[in-house]
Amino acid sequence: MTAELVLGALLAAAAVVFVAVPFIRGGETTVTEEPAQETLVAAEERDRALAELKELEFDHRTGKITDEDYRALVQPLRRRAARSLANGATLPEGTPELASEQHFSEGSTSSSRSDR
Amino acid sequence: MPELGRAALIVCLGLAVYAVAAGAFAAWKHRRRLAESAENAILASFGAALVAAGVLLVALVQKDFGFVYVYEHSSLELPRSYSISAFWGGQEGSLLLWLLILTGFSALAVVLGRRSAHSLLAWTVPVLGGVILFFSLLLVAVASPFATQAAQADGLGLNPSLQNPYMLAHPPMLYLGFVGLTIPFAFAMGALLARRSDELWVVVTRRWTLVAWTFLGFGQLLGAHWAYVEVGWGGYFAWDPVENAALMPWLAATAFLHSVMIQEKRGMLKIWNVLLVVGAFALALFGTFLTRSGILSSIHSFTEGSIGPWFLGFIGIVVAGSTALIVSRLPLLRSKTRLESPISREATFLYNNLLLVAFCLTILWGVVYPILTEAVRGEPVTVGPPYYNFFLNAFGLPLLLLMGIGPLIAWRRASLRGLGRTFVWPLGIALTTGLALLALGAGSSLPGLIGYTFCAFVLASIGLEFARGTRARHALSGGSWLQAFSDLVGRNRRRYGGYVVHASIVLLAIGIIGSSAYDTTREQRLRTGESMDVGAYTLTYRGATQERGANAMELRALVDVERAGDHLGTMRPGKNSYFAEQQVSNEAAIRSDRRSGEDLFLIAEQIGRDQVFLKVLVKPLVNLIWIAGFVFLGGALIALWPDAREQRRLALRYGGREALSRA
Amino acid sequence: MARRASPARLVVALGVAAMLAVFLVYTAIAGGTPQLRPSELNGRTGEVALIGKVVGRVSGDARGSGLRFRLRDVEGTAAVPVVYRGSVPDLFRSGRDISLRGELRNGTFVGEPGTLVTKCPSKYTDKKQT
Repeated sequence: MTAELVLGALLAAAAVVFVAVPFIRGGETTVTEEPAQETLVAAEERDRALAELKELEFDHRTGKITDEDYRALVQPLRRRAARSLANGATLPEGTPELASEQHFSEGSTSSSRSDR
Repeated sequence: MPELGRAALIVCLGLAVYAVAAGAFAAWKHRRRLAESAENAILASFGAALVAAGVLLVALVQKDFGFVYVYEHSSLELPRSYSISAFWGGQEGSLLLWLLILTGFSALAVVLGRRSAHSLLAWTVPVLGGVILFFSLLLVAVASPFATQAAQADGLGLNPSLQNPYMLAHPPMLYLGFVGLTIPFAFAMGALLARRSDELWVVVTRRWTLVAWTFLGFGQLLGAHWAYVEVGWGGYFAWDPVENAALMPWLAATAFLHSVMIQEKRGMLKIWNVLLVVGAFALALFGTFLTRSGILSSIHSFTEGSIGPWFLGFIGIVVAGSTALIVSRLPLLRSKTRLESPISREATFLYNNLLLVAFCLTILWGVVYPILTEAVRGEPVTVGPPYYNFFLNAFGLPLLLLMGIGPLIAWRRASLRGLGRTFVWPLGIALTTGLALLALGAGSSLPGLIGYTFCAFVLASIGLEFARGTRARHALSGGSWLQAFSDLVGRNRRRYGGYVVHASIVLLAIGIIGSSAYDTTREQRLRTGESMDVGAYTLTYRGATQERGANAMELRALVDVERAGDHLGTMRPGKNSYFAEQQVSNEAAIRSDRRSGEDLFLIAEQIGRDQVFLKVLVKPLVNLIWIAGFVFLGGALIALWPDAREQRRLALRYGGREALSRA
Repeated sequence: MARRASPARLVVALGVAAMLAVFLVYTAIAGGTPQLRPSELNGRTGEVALIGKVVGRVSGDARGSGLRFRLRDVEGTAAVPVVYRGSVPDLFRSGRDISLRGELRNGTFVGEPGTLVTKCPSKYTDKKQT
C-alpha cells in the first residue's frame, strides 16, 4: 500500500521535474527563426505554380491533354510561375531541382534545358 | 496496485491542465521556455498514462479480482491473450486505452513538431492538452478502472463473442484511427489560433491523416470479418449504430484526404477543409459516445449511465469552439482561386466530396432519427437497412464512377476533345464487361450490373494510368520497363499509392455487390441422411457430435457437401455453451472456394441426433472483400512512404535559420 | 464567369440543400418503423418494432408452429403475447430484453421472420445477433 503511494509520489515528482526542465536549463536557448507569413505564403504559391506546370507537362506526355490544349494552358502557367518567382519568393539555396528540373528540361517543348 | 494507477491518472490530469494553461499563455505571450515546458507536459502525460495502463494490464494478466474491472471482464479460465484483450472489453479499460493512444500520439506529434514545425506547436499544444484533459478527467472522476472490492475467487468472464483473435486487433486498430484524427484537428486549430494563413498544418498532418484513415478503414474491415465469421448470421455489416459510429468519421476523413489535395494544388477550399477536419474529429468523438452511452437503446438508458452527458458536453464544446474560431478567422481562410470549369479534376474532387459528405450525413440522419422523433413525437422511429442501402446505391455508385473519371481528367479545364481520347478505352472495356455480365445472368440485379460495369470502368482507368505513365517515363529515361514503372511510382508515391487504394475499393465494391446482390439463401429442416440443394451444392445431414472444449461445450452438426458429384468435405456448424459466462454462441461453418471466391455459409439450429434446422447461404465473391483489405494496406503504404526529395523541399520552405537568443 | 460568389460555393450549397431535402422526404414517406413498448401498442395496426423483456415460459418452435412468449415493458407491467417464426439469436431467453418487428393481430403480436434481436445487457458487450 505505502509502496504504491511512494511510487505515485515519485511519478508526480518526476512529472514536475520534467516539466520544469526548460527553466532549469536556463541560459541561452536555440531558437529557430521561421520565415514570416508572407514569405511562407509566397513560397507556397511559387511551389504550387511550378508543380502545376510539372503536372501539365506530365498530363500532356501521357496523352490526357491534347497539343492544342497544352499550348493554350502552358503560357499562362509559365507566366504565373515566373511572376511568383519574381515576387520576392526567391528560391532558397540548395534547390537546384525546383527550377531546372523536370518542369522545363524533360522533353518539353520549351527551349530551356539545364543540367540536373 | 490500484493506488498507483489512480495516482498516475491524477498526474496525467494535472499535466493536461498545465499543458492547456501554460501552453495557451506561452503561445499568447510568446514565452518560449514556458511553451517548451508545456510541450514537456504532453510528453510526460504519455508516461503517466503508460504507468496507469501498465497497472491495469498487470492486474488482468495476474487475474487480480480485487480490481472490480478485472472481476467484471475476465475469469480464471480465460486464456492469457484474451485476458489482455479484456483491457478494452469494458467501458473504463477502453477509455484508458483511448487515453494511452491519445497521449502517445500527442507526444509523437510534439517530438516530430519540434523538428519541423516548432512555431505551429505553440497553439497546438493547448488544444492537445484540452483533449487529454477531458479523457483523463473522465477516468479520474467518472469511470475509473481502478475501483476495488473485496478479493473474489473468480471473475464473471469475458463476453464469448469477444473471445477470438479479431477482438485482439479490431478495437485497438479502430482507436488508433479515431484518436489519430485528433492530431490533424489540433494542428488545424493551432494554425487558426496562431492566425496563420500558410499551409504548414496541412503539410505536417498529411501523414497523420492518412495513417489514422488507414487504421480506421482496416479496423472496420476486421470488424466486418469478425461479424461474418464469429457472430455468423451470414452478413458482415448490418448498419448497426455501433458500426455506423466508425463509418461516419471514416467517410469524413476520406473526403478530407481528397479535398486537402485541392487545397495543396490550387489553394481552394480552405474553409471546407477546416470544417471537414473538425467534422471528422467530432464524428470520432460522437461515434465513441454512441457506442458507450446507450443512448440508442433508448433515451432512458442514456440518462442512467453517467458517461453520456460528459461526452455530449465535450462534443458540444469542440463543435461550438471550433466553429467560433473558424468564423473569427474567416478573412484568413478566403482563397483567391475559383473553380474554373465543372469538367476538371478539381470539380470531380468536389463532387466526390459532396457525395461522401452526403452519405455521411445520411448515416448521421439515420442514427439520430430515432432520438429526434422520440423527442418530437414521443415515440422513436427507427430506420433500417433498406434506408441505408438505398443511399449506399444512390451515393456509392456515382462515387465509384468518379473514381474512374477523376484520373482521366486534367486540372483546371478539360476540353471535350481531350476527354474523348482518354475515355475511349475505359468506356469500351466497361461496356464490353457489362454486356458480357448481362449475358451471364447478372441482369437479375440492376444496381449490381451497373455497379460491376462501373467497377470495370474504374479498373480500366487505373490500369491505363499506370500504363500511360510507365510508357511516358520509359520514353523519357529509357532503361527497362520495370525500371520505368518503379521510377514512376517512386516519384509519385501519393498518386500511384492512391490509385492502388482506389483499386482496393473497387475490389471491395465487387465483393459487396457479389455477396449482396447475387447471393442465395435457403432454410430447411433436415433429418439424418436427408439432403438439400442450394445453388450448385448438395448438403446432407449426417448427425451431431458434442465435445468438451477449453471453456465451452461444443455441439456440432456434421454436414456433407457435394458439388457436381464431387465430395467437397464435411462442414461442422454448431453452438458453443460457455461454462463460466453461461452463454451460448453461434459457430457458423464457412467453406471458401478458392477459385471462384465464393463462400458456402452454414448456420445450424436445433441440432439433434436425428434432425437439424439448417440455414444455408451462398455468397459469391465475398472473399474479394477481405483481399481488398490487403490491397488497401499496400496502397496506403506506398502513399505513406517517405519521399526524401519532398521532405528536403518542405524543410527548406518552412525551416528558417537557426539563431541564438535569450528566451 | 465567377464574380464574388464562387460557383464552387453555390454547387456546395445547392448540393447540401438537395441532400437534406431528399432525406427528409424519404424518411417522411418511406420512413422508418415506430419503436414501441407493449404498453404503447393499444390495438395499433401496421408494422411496428416492439421492445420489451421476455417474461414467463417460452414455448413452441421458432422453426415450426411458432415460438410463443410474453413481452413486457422493460420497466412496467403491460405485457402482450407474441408469436414468432424465424431465426432466434442464441442470447434469447426469458428475462432478456429483445426487439422484433411485426404487427398486432387479434391481440397477439406476430413477429416478422429474422427480426428478433436481443439487446445487449451491458453496454460494452458488443454486437447483436440475428
